[in-house]
Amino acid sequence: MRWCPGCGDYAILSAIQKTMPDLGIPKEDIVFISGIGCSSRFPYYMNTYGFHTIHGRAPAIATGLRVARPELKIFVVHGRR
Amino acid sequence: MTKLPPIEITFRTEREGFFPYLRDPATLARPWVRPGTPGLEHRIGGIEKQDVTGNISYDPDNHDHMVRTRAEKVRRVAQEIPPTSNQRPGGPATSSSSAGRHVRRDHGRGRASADGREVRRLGPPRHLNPLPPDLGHILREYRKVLVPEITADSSCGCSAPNTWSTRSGSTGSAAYRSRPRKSTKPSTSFFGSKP
Repeated sequence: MRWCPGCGDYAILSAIQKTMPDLGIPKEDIVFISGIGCSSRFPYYMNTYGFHTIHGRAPAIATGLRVARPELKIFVVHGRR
Repeated sequence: MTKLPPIEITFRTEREGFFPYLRDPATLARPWVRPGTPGLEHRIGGIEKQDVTGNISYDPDNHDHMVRTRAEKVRRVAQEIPPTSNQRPGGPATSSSSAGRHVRRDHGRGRASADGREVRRLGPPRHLNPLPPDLGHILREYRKVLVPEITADSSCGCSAPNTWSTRSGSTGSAAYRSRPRKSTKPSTSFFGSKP
């Protein structure tokens, strides 16, 4: 992981990683989609499907995936720190 | 949409031996996996990956390898490009342009034809990167190649195919010269054209 020391992204990642198993969703049905920015490295740190896309387009790509594959659980990560 | 030919895609489903950046040796394409396929979870995106495994990598040698691999992958697309359509090969001149330059190109061809020149048409090219592998061979069959371009110079280029160097601006022949270019001074207004 490469975030700055003290960055809140670590806490968010830790919380998500601990919460996901409790949701009971098979990890192959989970997709994390991000755009550009520090927080957008997030998908690489999850053992699910993930797509680190381009600046500002994460919602558009997530929407397209949702339309094509409505059975998937899709999370969008964005924001800069 | 229904008139378009179907795009056949083979999605990988086998877990054994799967690596997200293990490429097809012929095309260097990566395997495609549909999200929802168990056991093949992986991530793709803009940060450089380690070859084969797809893990994030900051190794400069790996980055160099991946840059060259991606360039080679694009270059190999040429082997899938169908033969270039050549309207009437063997003539003394041809013109080639992208779709948006049809009008200017045909205008130039018309003027050249009016001067008694025999002009053949080629294109517009569908593939630009990479170019069709047979394009160079075809262009070398002509004495001159005219490539209309709408650039800052707003002028045609013309070259002898054996040199492949393209001059911008006048080709020395009025028949090949494009219209005088309009001013390229940028507008300072944030609004549209004046009524």
